[in-house]
Amino acid sequence: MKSPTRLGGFKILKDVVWISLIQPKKNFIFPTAFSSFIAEEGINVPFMTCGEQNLAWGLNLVVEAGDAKKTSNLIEKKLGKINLSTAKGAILSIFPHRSKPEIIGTLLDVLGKLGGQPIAFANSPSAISAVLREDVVNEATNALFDPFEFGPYRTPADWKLAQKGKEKLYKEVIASYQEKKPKVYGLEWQDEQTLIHIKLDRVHLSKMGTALKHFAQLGLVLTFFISRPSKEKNKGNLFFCLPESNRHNYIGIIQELLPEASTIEDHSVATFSMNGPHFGDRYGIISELLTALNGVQVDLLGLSCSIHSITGVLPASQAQPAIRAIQGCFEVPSVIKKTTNQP
Amino acid sequence: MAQKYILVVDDDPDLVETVAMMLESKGFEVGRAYDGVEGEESIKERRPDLVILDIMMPRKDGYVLCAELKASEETRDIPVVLLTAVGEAVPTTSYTHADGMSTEADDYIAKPIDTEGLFEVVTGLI
Repeated sequence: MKSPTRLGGFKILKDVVWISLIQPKKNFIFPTAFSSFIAEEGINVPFMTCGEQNLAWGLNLVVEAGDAKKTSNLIEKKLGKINLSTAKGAILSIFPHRSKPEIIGTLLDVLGKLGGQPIAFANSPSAISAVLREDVVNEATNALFDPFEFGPYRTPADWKLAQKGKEKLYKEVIASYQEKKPKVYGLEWQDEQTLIHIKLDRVHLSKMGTALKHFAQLGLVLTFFISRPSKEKNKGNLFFCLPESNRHNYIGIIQELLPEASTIEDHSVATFSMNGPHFGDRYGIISELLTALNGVQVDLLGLSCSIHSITGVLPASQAQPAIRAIQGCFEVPSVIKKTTNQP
Repeated sequence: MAQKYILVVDDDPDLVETVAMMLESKGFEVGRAYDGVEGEESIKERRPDLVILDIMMPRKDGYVLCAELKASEETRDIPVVLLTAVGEAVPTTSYTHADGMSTEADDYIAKPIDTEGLFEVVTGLI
């Protein structure tokens, strides 16, 4: 039997509501102006993924439960009466993953067995975050201790005991960050990537987990990984980036393990990641970024915001203008270009 | 100049990654440990140029690990910076344990961590 993979730990943010929607790309208020409306209302966005496919944007948005009604009303006011999928849930984040596909693959395996889970997920440089339905949170927490080990916490009970009383402290830390020009710890980017969109039946998520483990055997790193909602019932869309140079290997793995899945590839893309203090808990950060990118006509292909980071995908030819735009609206101490396969 | 290696020890993985990102963005190499015992093992495996140490941790807290590092001839010259959180002890570099053992760190950083404050402390020690 394979011994558990040792990780740093995990966190759960409870009392949140997941909202998903799909909007045509020709609706120009989406997603940039839409994210400004969210910011103007002071709604925190602890988790968001956004992906463009077939001339439509698909959005997974998570807000605190107390903001759910306000968010739904805002969506209706700005976008009209549209079909919204919503669910009460929690965000599970495991740390760290170092862009290793096998960790995301294992997490998909574990959560996929819980039935229809996760509802949404995204990776950031520090963590993998999965949105779960509220009623499976305990089961998911317990299941994590089978493939993973978490530092000093040998059992789910150890972990639960250690979390008591920490939530208040966490909120105080978040609330203390205020600045006019938001600071980021650093901006990293990487080109020579391919963005792959896969549409698959949700029941095949664990097969995707297996494919990710095969990617790991090739020594590949995942610089971007999100889910995007689908209009079709029980279908899911995954967006992820892998190095262009290994294309034949990983496309072969996908075709072998997921023959029923449909794939689309965007070549010559770049990923960027900005890490800042509690980005996921401060309203307005996504809006500032999207407005800046919009100002230099960047064709964003995908975006995620979770934990401390915002990660995005764009055509590689637009990376430089995008970086300059980010530097214009955020205080960026360093810009680091990573090489292919560097976690 | 050789890249300096800093070990961050905290049982909050989120905070470990935050501090690691801050330091890596300034060119430091960062090691991670998630409690005092892991931190101790990590220091034995590879000697860091500086240790950033949380106080409240399971198995072995930061005060005890710091006192042990400073009591050993092999590790006493490794700079230790304590991380103190809101609601924890008054920020200070020194602490006397109930059994009389004394902790004397080289500096401290209060949470929430300010990027510039962190670099100021770190670059002042290595």
